[in-house]
This record gives sequence, C-alpha cells and structure tokens, in this order.
Amino acid sequence: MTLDHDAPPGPPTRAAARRGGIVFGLAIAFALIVHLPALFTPFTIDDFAHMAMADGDYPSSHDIPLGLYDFVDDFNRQALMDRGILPFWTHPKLVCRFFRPLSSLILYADYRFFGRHAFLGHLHSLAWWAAASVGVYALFRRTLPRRVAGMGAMVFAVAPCHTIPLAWLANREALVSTALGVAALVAYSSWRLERRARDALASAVLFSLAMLAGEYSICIGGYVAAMEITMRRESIARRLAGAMTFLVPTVAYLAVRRALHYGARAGGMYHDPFWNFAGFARGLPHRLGALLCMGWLGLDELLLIFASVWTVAALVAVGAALLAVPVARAFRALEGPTRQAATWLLLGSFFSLAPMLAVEPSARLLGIAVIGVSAVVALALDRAWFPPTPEPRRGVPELAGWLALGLAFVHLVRAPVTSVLTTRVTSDVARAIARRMSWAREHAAGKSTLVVLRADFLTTAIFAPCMLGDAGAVRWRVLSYEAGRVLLLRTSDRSLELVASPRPIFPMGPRQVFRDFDHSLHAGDTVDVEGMKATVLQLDKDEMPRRVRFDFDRSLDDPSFLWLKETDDGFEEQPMPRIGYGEPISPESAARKAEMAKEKEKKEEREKAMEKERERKAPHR
Amino acid sequence: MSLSVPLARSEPGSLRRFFALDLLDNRYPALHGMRVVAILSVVQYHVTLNLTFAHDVPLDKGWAAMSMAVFFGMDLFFVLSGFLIGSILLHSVESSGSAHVRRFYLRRAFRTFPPYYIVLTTLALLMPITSDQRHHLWFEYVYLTNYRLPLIPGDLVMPWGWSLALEEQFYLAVPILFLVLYKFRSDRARLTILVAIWSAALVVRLVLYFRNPQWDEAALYNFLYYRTHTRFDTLVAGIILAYVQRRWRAPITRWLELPAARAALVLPSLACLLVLMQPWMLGPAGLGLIHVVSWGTLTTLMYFAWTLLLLNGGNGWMSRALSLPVFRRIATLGYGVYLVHMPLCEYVISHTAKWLVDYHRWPLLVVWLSAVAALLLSSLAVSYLLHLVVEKPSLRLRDRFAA
Repeated sequence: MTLDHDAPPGPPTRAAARRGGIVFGLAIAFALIVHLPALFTPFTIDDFAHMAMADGDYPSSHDIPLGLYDFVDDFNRQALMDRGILPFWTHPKLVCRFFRPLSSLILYADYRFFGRHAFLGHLHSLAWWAAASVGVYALFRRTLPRRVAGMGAMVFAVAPCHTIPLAWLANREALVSTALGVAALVAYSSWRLERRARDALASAVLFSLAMLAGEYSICIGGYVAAMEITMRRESIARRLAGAMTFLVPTVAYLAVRRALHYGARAGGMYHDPFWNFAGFARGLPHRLGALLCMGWLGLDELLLIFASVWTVAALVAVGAALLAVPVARAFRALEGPTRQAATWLLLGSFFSLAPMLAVEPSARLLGIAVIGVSAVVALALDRAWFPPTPEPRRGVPELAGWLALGLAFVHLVRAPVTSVLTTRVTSDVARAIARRMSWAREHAAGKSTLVVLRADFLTTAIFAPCMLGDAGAVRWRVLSYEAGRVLLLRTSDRSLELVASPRPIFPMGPRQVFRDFDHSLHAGDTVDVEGMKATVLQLDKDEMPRRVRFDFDRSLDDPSFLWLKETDDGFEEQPMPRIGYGEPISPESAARKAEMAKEKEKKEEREKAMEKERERKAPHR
Repeated sequence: MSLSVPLARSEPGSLRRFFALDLLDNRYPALHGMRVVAILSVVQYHVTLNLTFAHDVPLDKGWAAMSMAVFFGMDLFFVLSGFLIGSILLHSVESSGSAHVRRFYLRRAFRTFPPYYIVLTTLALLMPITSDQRHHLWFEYVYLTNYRLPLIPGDLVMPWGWSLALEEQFYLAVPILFLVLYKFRSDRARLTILVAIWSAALVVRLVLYFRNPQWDEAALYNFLYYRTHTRFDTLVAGIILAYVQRRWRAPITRWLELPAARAALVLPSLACLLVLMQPWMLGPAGLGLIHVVSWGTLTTLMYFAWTLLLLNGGNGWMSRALSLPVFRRIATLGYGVYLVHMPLCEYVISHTAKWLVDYHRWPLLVVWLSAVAALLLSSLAVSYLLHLVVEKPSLRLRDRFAA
C-alpha cells in the first residue's frame, strides 16, 4: 500500500489498472449521486431572460444565438426599465454584457432542441461537468501518481463550486469554460513537457474555444503562468514563446471583448477595475480571503460574505497555519517532475483567483481554482494515509494525520453534503419563484400595470416580466426591494410614498446587481420610467433612500392597476388606502398572520390550562 | 504507647479504604474517556434544556440549538453498555459454555439497583411530588419509566430514568439472544443475525413514522425516542462490537495500523456526526425523517467506528487522552452522576444561573459554561457520596454473592 513517489506515472499493471478503474468508477458514481438532484431544478432567474431572448421577446439589439449573455447596455437599458425587466433604481450607466458566444450558442441550441425542458438542459450541463472531471483526472494522471490523481479528481468532482452551474442553466458557461480550459491545459502540459507541435496546436485551439465559452476561462491562465514560473532551465523568451498558445487566444479574446464594449459596470456584483478602480480595490482583500476560505477550508459562502475583513483574514491565517503542516510534508516527499507539477498546481490555484477578484465572492467562481486545490488536498491525504514507511503515532506525523483528516472531512464529507444541500436550496427557490410568477400571471388578466409595493426575491426585481408568459406585455413595477416592513402612504390621487426603516427602500452596493454604492441616488433625484416617476425624498444615515415618492400617469384607483406585495408565502393583493391615509406592509402573508394569531391564542390557552394543571397538581407536601 | 502505633497505622488505612473509589475495570482505558464525553454531553444538554425551557434564560438561539443538537451522548452510554455486557456474556459463554444467567442478573442487580432505588426513593420522599407523580411511581420502581409517556417532570419523579429502564428491559432479553445466537455455528451467521436485529429497530421506527404523516417534534420524541422497541439498536450495536472485537481483534488491529484504514473508519463516522449536528439540514419537512434515522442508526454507526478505533487503532493522541487516569475516576462515578444531575440542575444550578442572569447581568455564555461546570462538579460530589455509602457496599455484596 505504499507509493513510490519517485517513479514517474507510467503504464499501470493490469490488476492495478482494473483496481484503479473500479475505484475511479465508484468515485464518479458517488459524485454523480451527489449532483443528480440538480437535474430536477426548474428554470430560474437568467434562464427566463434567455428563453425570452431565444423567443425574440427581450429588448436586445444583438445577435441572439451568440448574444444570450448580453443582458443590459446603453441601447436597451431604458426599454428594460420601461417594461420592468429592470427596476427603477437601476444605475443609468449599468452595463451587463458578457462575451460568451460559444456558451450562448450551446444554450440557444438547448432551447431550440429541448424546448422548455429544464431536465434535458441539466443533463447537458452534467455532461460538461463529467467532461471537466475526466479532464481533471487526465491532467492529474499526466503529472501525479495514479492514486493521487484519482483522489484529486474525486475532490474536484464533488466540490460545491459545481452545484450552482449544474442547477442553473444560465451558469453552465462556467462548466463549459472549465471543461474546455482543462482540456486545453492537458494539451498545454503535453506541449510544454514533450514539445510536440500537435499538442501546441491542440492547446491553442482548445484555449480559443475555452475563451469563446466565456471570460471565466482566463482563470486557466493562472496554471499556465504557474507552470512557466516553475519550469526549470528555460529562458524567459522560451517560456513566453511556450505560453503563446494561451496568450494569443487570450489577448485576441480580450481585444474583441473590449472593441465590442463587453463588460459589467455600475452594478455592485461586478467590479471592473478599468472602469472604477477604487470600487474594485475597496473590497479586494475581503473577496480574496473569502474565495480562499471557500476553496480550501470549505467555509460557508454566506458566513464569509457577511463576515468582516478582519474575521476573514484571521480565518485565512488560521487555515494557512493548519494546512501548512500536511501540505509541506506532502511536498517534501515528492521529487522531480511530480514535485514540479504539485508546485504549479498549488501556485495555479492561487493565480487563477485573480480574474475572479472582480466579482463578489461565491463558491460557483471556484471551479478552476479548485483544480489545484484538489491536487494539493489529494497529495496531502496520500502522504498522510499511505506513508512510504510506517510512522510513529506521535509528534508531527500524528499532527499531520489529524490535519489531513480535517482536510478529508472538508473536501470528501462536508463538500458533497454542501453540494446536495445547495442544490436543494436552489431548487426550492426556483420552485417558489415559479409559484409566485404563476400566481401573478393568473391575476394579471385585464390589468395593464402590475405594481409590487414590496419585494424580497431577486427575480421579482429582475426579469420578472420574462416569466409572465402571455401577460408579459404588461408593465411590471417594483417599488421596494429587501426593505423589510414598509409604510405605504397615499399622498394624492396619482401618488404614493413608501417609507422604510431601518432598512432602505432598496439596497445598493456590493452584491447588488442594479447599482453600485459609488453611484448612489440623492435626495431630490428623480427617475422616469414609462407611466411612473420616482423621486427620492429622504436618505437614511447610511445615505440610502429611506423615503421615495411615486407619481403615476393615472389614478391609483384605476382598475388597470394590480397592487401587489411579496410576502414570505408569495404575492398578495394590497388594497390601496384612501388619499391621506397610510398602511404598513409587512413581509408576513395573510395566512401566516392568521397562523401567528392562532398560535398566540393557543399559547394563551395552553398557559391557562397549565396554570390550572399546576393548581390541580399542587404538591402534597 | 505500644498500642497507639498499630492504631495510628491502621486508622488511616481503613479511612483511605473507605474513601477510596472502587474503580471500574481497566481493560479498555480509552472507553473511560468516552464515558466522560458522554456524561459531559448529557450534562450540557440538560443544562441548556433546563435554562431555556424551564427557566426562560434567553440563551443565544444558535448556541442553544447547537447544544441541544448534541443529544447523542445517551446513545454512547448504550453502545458502551452493550459492549461491556456483551463482552462479559461472550466470555462467559465461551469459557464455560453457558451464559450463567443467574450470576449475570445478580451482578447487574447489585451494580445498578441500589443507587437507583436509593435516589428514586429519596427524591420521592424528600421532594414535593404531585398526585400524578405519586400515581405513576410504580412505573419507575419496576423500570417502566420509558413506557409512561409523556416524560414530563410533573408526571414522573425521575423522568431521566427512561434510559435506565430501557437498558434493564433490554438486558432481560439479552441471555435469550445469546442462547439463540449460539444455536448457530458460524461467525458469519451470528453476525448476520445481530446485524439483522440491529437493523430491525430502524425498520420499526420507519414503519411507525410513516404510519402517521403528521408528527410534531414532541410526539415524535415520545413515540420513538424513549421506547425499548424503537431504540434497542444502540445496545445491540454494543453487542455486535463485543462480538467483532472478540472474534476479529487481531486482523482489525493489523488493518488499523494503516492510516488509510483509520481514515476509512473515521470519515463515514464524521459524516454521521455532520448529519447529527444539523438535523434541520433538509428543512422542517425532513427533520422527522432525519430524527428517525439518527436515533439509533447514525449514532451507533458513529460510535461503532469510534469505539473500534479506540480499541484497536493503536496508541494515538486521542486514545492516550481518553485513557488518562482521571477519566477512569470520573467514569466510575458516571452512573451516580447520571442519577443525581437532574435534580441538582433543576433545583440548584438553574435557579442560580437565572439569578446570575437576572440580578447580576452575567453574560449568557459565561453563565452557561459556569452552569455546566458547576453541575458536573456538584454531581460528581454527590455521586461520590453515593458511591461511598451505597455503591461500594453493594459491590462488596455482589462480589460475595455473585463472584
């Protein structure tokens, strides 16, 4: 059961190959079981925009089969706001366009061939995930011992970073980029190690395809850079020449992307350093720390997003200290090309995070970084579990064993559980969205404007009209979002005001799709959309809108209006108060309120009964 | 003067003997540490339960939920008890050809009955009891506490005696189990039977669970958690462990010399722990089903792996730590601690904690930690007295009548 780390990964014996094949098959089967629930996730968020685009029902000036990821630009922004696909507080310069022609084409083909069957689309995504996993195994097999390669591929396959791309069709581009990027990396490593021209050509073609799948593929450059840095006895010129198969397609991709004005600006989700460097730099340490903690320590995304930068820094420091022991021991045991490969995989996992630093941290961004993480984790586990010689159960070997066990728990136990649970949450949210929009569709008959006075789901604020089907032609207005409890005041026949506290009427800043905080609204600012004018009346202490007036083009009592509020149980109609009156709007549904009242009544009854019982059971001594 | 010398020498000796602990058998030292972990788990659970529900101490909700999620210390007691009783009976059967049923019951009765009846009677006599408690007292005297439901303090004097009742009921059937088991010759057949019996408890729980689609948490606990016919798998798991240990100790020890083998045993058990610590992971709809699978199946799988590892996995850090002599002493007092910790918690510790929170504004976490420490220490002190005046004399009688 020992491992000859010095031996280059050569052809296996028949028995070893069979055993390895069985283990690999079992690992793939396990990973498939982990991700299988993703097949049953309904369409969600951007998927509806994509379907609307495919049907020609989305205001867009771009070539649809190749431009499904062209969401917002200067040409369609106002049209999107007028229809309610974007809310009124959308930044006037918001751009959200991603140059992903190949992924777009693949997705378009899905909608053409599979129609509205999300299951088949997810099956297609699963194929890309399988291709990426097999690619990672092939990459590791070229450079690392067989057992390490198997374990590493397993860690990669069950990682929670694949969950959202698998459960959300619009995010499949991450899987396509990863699969093609890994294939390109396999060819690239062959090209650089064996210097075959056909490998150079293959890597150039595959890198080009990966780039066309999406900007996410740039992350693969982290491994290319790491490989070139760790390569021995090579001049800088030769290294640069070697890297041309990556550099040329990447530079070409970036040039075209820039020339065609692709990118994401003015929102809080993406931080383009070339557009707003201060905004990009502000959250950089937090974003980097969060990504490292998610990738290496498997820490929860929500926990990290809301943690302070100091907490995240402390977690990174503690994590690094803990990982250092088993990883250093694993590296010390390696020699020659294996050690070199392990080094570039480790460095690559860090470098590959660089392009992702422009995005708010999320586990779904880690697909490419996890390649290196998986390799290093597998090496650490292999060193701890299959030592070349028996080791004492004391001191450093024992400590390393415990830490390796912790790593195994994070990546082989908790990760699959997290993957399953994340899929479940994504499915539940998608189903809740579908239920809500179905309710809205049914109630939209005979109405021309649907106004949501308070909203909680992102989908209510974005792309909702794309989900309304035949009723999609109506205007959709969202007046407040994530505001908690708001006060509705009817100020005139055609006007109302919303007041929120302590949360603002709508959020801005990091993680907010529609508006970065650097481009805030001020008191007195107005926004005009078709049939409605919003005026910010008051800001709160955080300079966020607290009170906003909405003037409509007709009486609020006009029957063509449908006034809605989003509650914890879906949409409900909200009666409009008389002029001069107001009404608080709470997030609880009518049913929930009734339930709460009933619970309160029951509790009181129970307390009375208990009091009586206590009197009856008074102690005898 | 000549007389004073031997007196002076003998008095401290007899005093020392009187105050000394009659320590538990030390064949498996790491198991003492495991017992202490189980004691700690039960003590902290009951502190949180008492503070939160009986005394309205506003502990942090997340902390309270986490503390209450560590409910499974009780199952560790069951597994260890099953293992020790199983080991004794296996030894008896294999060394003499019969299970020595009379001796087994006598020894068990001398070990467990006196402290239990003394504590129960003392509480019944000294504490204010309700008419319902008085009415149901016979359930407790005949070890049927776990079938007098719901288990609430107003109805029973020692509701926490459910676990002792469960054990006693199970051990009534154990000699029969061994008689049946030894009708079969092969180890594989015996092990298959044991595993089938172990699995049967899960089947029973699942059947009962699916017969009623509308469980609430309290009803589910009352119906499935306390009863012997739904929870015997924890004790059977201990017997399986004893059997496996007796039959295949050497190959298991050899196998566990490999770090990978140890990891292969630990990782699935950690997966069980992950589910046990987050029973709400599948949302409210899945909570009941997770309970059904957790209460006996996941807990025993986890403890089976840990115990097997501690018994055969070499002298690692964990094994060394759990084998510290102090744990043997605490474990010796463990039974007494279990018997007396609840009244102490209810009448002394919780009131003090509430007072510290209400009148001295102590931070809640500090109060909770202090309450756990105080309850453990005070229970150990009372248990020590119980050991001196009840347990030790009865153990002496045991050695005399059932040596």
